[in-house]
Amino acid sequence: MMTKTTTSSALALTLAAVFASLLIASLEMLTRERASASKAAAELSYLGQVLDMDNQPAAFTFVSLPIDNRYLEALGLGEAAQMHIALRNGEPYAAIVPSVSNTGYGGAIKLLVGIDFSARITAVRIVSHRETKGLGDKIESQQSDWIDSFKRRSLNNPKPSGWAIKADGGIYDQFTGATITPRAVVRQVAATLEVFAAARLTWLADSAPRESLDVDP
Amino acid sequence: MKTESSRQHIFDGLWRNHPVLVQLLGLSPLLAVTTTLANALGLGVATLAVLIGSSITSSILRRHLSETLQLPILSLLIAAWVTAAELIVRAYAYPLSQELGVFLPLIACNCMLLDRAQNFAIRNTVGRATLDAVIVGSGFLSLMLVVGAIRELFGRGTLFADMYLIFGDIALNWVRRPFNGDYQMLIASMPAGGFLLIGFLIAIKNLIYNRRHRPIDVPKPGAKRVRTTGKII
Repeated sequence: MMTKTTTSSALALTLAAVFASLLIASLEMLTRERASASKAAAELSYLGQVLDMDNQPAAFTFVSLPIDNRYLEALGLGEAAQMHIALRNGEPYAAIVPSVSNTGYGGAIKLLVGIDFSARITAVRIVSHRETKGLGDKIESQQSDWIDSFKRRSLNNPKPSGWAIKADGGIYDQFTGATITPRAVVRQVAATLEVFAAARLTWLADSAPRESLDVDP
Repeated sequence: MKTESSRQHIFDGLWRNHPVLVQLLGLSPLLAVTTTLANALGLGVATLAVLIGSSITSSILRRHLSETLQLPILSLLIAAWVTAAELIVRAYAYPLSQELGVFLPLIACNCMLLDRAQNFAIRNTVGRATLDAVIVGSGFLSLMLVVGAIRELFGRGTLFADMYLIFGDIALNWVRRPFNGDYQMLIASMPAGGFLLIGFLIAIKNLIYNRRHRPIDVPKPGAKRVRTTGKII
């Protein structure tokens, strides 16, 4: 009787384990292609949100490059990360740079900054943050259009002294009850522009050789 | 006879022994993701599907489950179904999987699943276990939808926002703004608001139930399950 129960239990555990493995393995195989396509589409729309695509998303392709180690600190990135070059009709159009501010109120504020190769910002978007709901979250594009005040700005527009919130003598609005959050974002966007100024030529050069690959359908 | 007991079963799962309103199972996903109707629908349907899968497989293996191996085997089956659901959501609704984040794999920790597997599926035929999963899962899903709709309406002033996460681009224009102007009631989107709302819903449910039936017995002191809002019948 004892052995019968043991055998029966062993059988059940084996059956359950085999079933679980088969289920997961076969589903993984069946959905692998679709999953990577969905992920690529999501990434395209993710990168596209900081570009002005003129309703021609098909004209854009992206090249991903590792970010040189010496820029990581200024970008607030703890570990190696990638930036992306957007090509419009095969020509380098803009750099899309991930950037993290660690001076926010509730921890890291992750940004995505688009900068075209004439060094002007195409757009900035907040990827994730933990700022106070109802106060600091106005940095989100869904909550207010504050984040669009960076559009077409560059390192000299406004002048360096203007790259601050109004409370600090700059040109960017703060929010009632929340100055730390917009201050952190403004500083990090300025820091990202400085990195772009330093890395611009390297990024341009690195994005060029891939053009021929992108023509190949 | 069979239809009568099925009807009783439906009444129990959707109302009298509702998994959340009476048994307080699955509160954490319920409160965490129901800030919008779209999120509630996504996680509710995923939970329903996982519950059906785990109930069927648990019921198939029911004759071989010894007392000692019951818990590990049922957990393994639930975890497998949750992983399957996660793979499918990632492939067909990638933005939704990003939105639900860790709460999608955490379905495995929803006590409701283990409760149905352990207390029903392994004691009943596959057919009855499936029926039970559909009923109890629908009870959970429908409450998710109610909570999601109310919290989205009061918290963000919208309805059907973000539905494109599930249905794709055709749902981009589904968003409704019933209130004029920029309406937001912050507490509704926060966990505190979720708790309050659940409390009110439980009170309303008990009010209606007690009016139609004899008052619910208060659990006796020292009862095994104290985290309930009424007697689990």
